[in-house]
Amino acid sequence: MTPCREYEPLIAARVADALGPDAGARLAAHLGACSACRAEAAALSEALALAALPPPSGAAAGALEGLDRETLRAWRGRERSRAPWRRAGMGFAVAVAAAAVMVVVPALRTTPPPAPAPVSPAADAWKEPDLDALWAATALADPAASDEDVASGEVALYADEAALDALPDLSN
Amino acid sequence: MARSDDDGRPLPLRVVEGGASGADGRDEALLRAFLDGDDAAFGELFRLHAPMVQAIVRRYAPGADETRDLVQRAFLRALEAARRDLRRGGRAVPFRPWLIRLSVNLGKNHARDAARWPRAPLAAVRQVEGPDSAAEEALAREERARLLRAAVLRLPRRQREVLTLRLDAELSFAEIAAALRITENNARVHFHHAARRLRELLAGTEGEP
Repeated sequence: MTPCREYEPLIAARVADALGPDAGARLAAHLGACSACRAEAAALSEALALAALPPPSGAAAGALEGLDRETLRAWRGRERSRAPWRRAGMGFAVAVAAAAVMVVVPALRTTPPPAPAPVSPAADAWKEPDLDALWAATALADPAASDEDVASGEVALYADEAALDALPDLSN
Repeated sequence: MARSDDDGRPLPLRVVEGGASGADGRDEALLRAFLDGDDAAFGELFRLHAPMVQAIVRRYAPGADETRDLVQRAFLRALEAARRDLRRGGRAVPFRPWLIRLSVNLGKNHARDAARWPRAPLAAVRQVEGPDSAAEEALAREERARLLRAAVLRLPRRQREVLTLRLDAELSFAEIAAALRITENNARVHFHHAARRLRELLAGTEGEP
């Protein structure tokens, strides 16, 4: 026995306890008359009950104890380690820029052979990047994005989500 | 999770509070206060959202230490993102949706990297021994649960995300959809497909000895 196709999404929504009152009443009336859909509802309910996690253990209930303060300390630690790096980076960049000027200006005044290009690899290496600009320029500007988000297969797989949206609205 | 009734009655899920209220500016006000130096504001943010993060990562990280690590990392990343966005112009910061997606992604990456797909933490059932049929049935049911929970982690990504956010974190489909940036109806369809896959898998196991 196969369930009625048009009621299948309603059955899943009901099992998820997420069916609106109108759709719920419509489904309830149908389930009263259709044994195939009743069997489907029971099978889905059983599968999801098995797939759900058991209630948290006592240890899990205490897993967050003190974690707010610990997370705060980790945040402050990051802040402290970040600030000196910025200051050192800025100072070093200024020093490198001054050194570059000292090299470039005399080089421009001398006669050929021309001085080598006044670009120091160190200057590039120590130039502090504008992290905000870099971030904005990436495709991963979404802070919650994962490596899965950029997997081309996934992008292709969900390119047709608009088609899914065309299905009947079950929320009311 | 209590066993569902045979008539397909809804699972005893509830809808966790905190989603809509996060959008009314409460989270953003707390974030601004925290970034201005008010540590108590972070405590409030943590109190509001950490249980949800824990519920999401629990499926991927069975140990308490792993859970703590993932919860902390989710918060640190979300804070970092919030600070960046607030610095760049102060548009509305979707802190809770970020936390939801970060939790799912960190959890999945954790399970993948550690190659330790979770075993069902149903030690109490495993300890049941004896020749009686009730114990055998409990063991068989536990084995089916283990198979289905493993199958959840192998579901196509969107189906897994929607199913676990509904089952584990008990988020509404509206909040799931907002966090995953899909429509609510789309989320419901993914849930339906996920549930159907699990039901088919279960039907395949029930005939086995």
